[in-house]
Amino acid sequence: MGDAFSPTWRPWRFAIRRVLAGALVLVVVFVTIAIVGEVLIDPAVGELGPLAEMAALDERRRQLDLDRPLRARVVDQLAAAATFEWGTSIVHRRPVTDVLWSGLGPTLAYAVPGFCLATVAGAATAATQLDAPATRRAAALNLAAATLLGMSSLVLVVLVHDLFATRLGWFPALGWPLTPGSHLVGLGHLLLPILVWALLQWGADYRMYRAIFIAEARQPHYMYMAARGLPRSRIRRHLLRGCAGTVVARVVQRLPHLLVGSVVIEDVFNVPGLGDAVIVAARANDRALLQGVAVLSAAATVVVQTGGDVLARWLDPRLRLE
Amino acid sequence: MHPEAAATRIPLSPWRRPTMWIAGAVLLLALVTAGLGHWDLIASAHADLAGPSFAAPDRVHPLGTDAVGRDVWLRTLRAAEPSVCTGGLAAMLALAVGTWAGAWAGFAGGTVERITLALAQIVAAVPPLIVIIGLVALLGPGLVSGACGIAAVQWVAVYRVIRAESQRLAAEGFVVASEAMGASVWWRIRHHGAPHLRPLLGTMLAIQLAYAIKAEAVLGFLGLATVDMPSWGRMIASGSTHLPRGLWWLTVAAAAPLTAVVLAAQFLGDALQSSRDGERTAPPRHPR
Repeated sequence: MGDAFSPTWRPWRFAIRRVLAGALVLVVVFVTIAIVGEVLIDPAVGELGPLAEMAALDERRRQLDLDRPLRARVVDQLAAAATFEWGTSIVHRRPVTDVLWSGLGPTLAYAVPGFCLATVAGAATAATQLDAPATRRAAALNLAAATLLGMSSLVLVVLVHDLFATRLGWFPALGWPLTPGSHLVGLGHLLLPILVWALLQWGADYRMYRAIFIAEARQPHYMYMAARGLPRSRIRRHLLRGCAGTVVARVVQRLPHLLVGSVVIEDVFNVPGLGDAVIVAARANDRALLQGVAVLSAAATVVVQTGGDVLARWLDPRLRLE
Repeated sequence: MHPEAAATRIPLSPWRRPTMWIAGAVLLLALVTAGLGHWDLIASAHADLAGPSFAAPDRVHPLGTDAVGRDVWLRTLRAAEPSVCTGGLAAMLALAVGTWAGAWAGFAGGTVERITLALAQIVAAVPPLIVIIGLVALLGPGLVSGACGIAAVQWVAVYRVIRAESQRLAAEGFVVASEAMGASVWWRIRHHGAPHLRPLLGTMLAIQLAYAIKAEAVLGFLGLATVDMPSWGRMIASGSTHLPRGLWWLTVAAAAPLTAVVLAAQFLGDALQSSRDGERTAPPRHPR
């Protein structure tokens, strides 16, 4: 593998090991979800209802091969999942992959811009703490971040929607057009969900990036740079470069959450995304759709975090010691 | 900040911080309200028809009435029970599981650590709300199922912190010495780990409580919380549909106490965390 700072350190060997470990985690996640679903949910009851006759339920279970051993059913599900055959949603009456694919677009349409906006705003406001950490502005920012972090997202989304969409009328009440329209119409619908997502995320990001920047600034070599008379802008460039690995790790850790979006935002703004699909699946006990969403998000987490770990270690050699 | 300057910071006792007292008072009030509601000592008439539907707040009904004429103030008081009890139970479950798993992994290491770390990675691979919603959907809506669902994802954060702290403690000279003298893992956790981890648990409990109450509110909003009693999340869900008609009290009645309790837990956790960080950077106390 090579010493941490040796030129023989090979990122690709690290990446292969992480990918294999991630694949193993994914298999275990899927098997766990499949077993829990098989044990706790009866698809025959889901289709025919809890008041159906026992004979009808038994017949439907036989048709669905539920009388086979649990291990055989789980193995079959695993094999089918590997070929993206994730079953049919009993609510939407379509293949689960179709439901997931159609929900991905609306979710990412507001989640990605909101995430980018919050990340940039959080890092930028945190960077202002480096020059003047003990001013009133800093105290106000800290209080705002703590308050946003402490507030329930439910309350924030509902009140922001009521204030800006219903009472002031600055934004459309719906986060997604009811009928397909022009791209500009779609952007107008998405603006408030994007801003709400950014507001929900900013508090946590600000506090995290502030801690990262301050911890990095305490390294003694920055004091030596200042003592040598380097301009503040150059010191800041070095500092940001030193934080790059940790910041990338933080961003990567949050990326998989974009896939499912915010169930509260999608419910309040009526966005037909994956979060909305999860709500519908949970209320209707749609095991196939719940499993599909869980597996998709787990796969995204494993893939994104593996790539992010490799990138973070390439950016910051100090992380290779861990 | 200069490293030497950081070492001369004087730690502020948590009990001298005003935010601690205010936050503690709010949480105590919520807990007492939940307890009194559980034993029907207050708000026992929350389900009774008290007046006309959608009546505005007045002297008789301080927070007005809802769609079927029930007193919103009584329902708000009664809704404290599922919100606070589910959140509290979830936080304590997560703390218990995460602390034991983290301490065991940190002090024992080896296979135990690898297994618990793998379990934590598997749980962390799926977005938390998916796990919570999935488990509650599988187990059925209820106070205990909600608490179990929330605890099933929260224990990972507790585990990581306790494991890191336990690994640091396990490398200390006095722990290594006790291990060399034949002390078992459990003996070391009980006699060396517990006194040092105890201050950390208070902070984690406050932070986990804030998260758990927020998660329970979302479950109630989505209709996945307990169905046989009102909850703040469900009140917000039903009240938000009437906001465009100007019926603000239905939403504010639940949003205000929910925000107050969650903020109190968050500020309490922050105050405890700041005190601990201050103690860590204080100069060592030398014996006279």
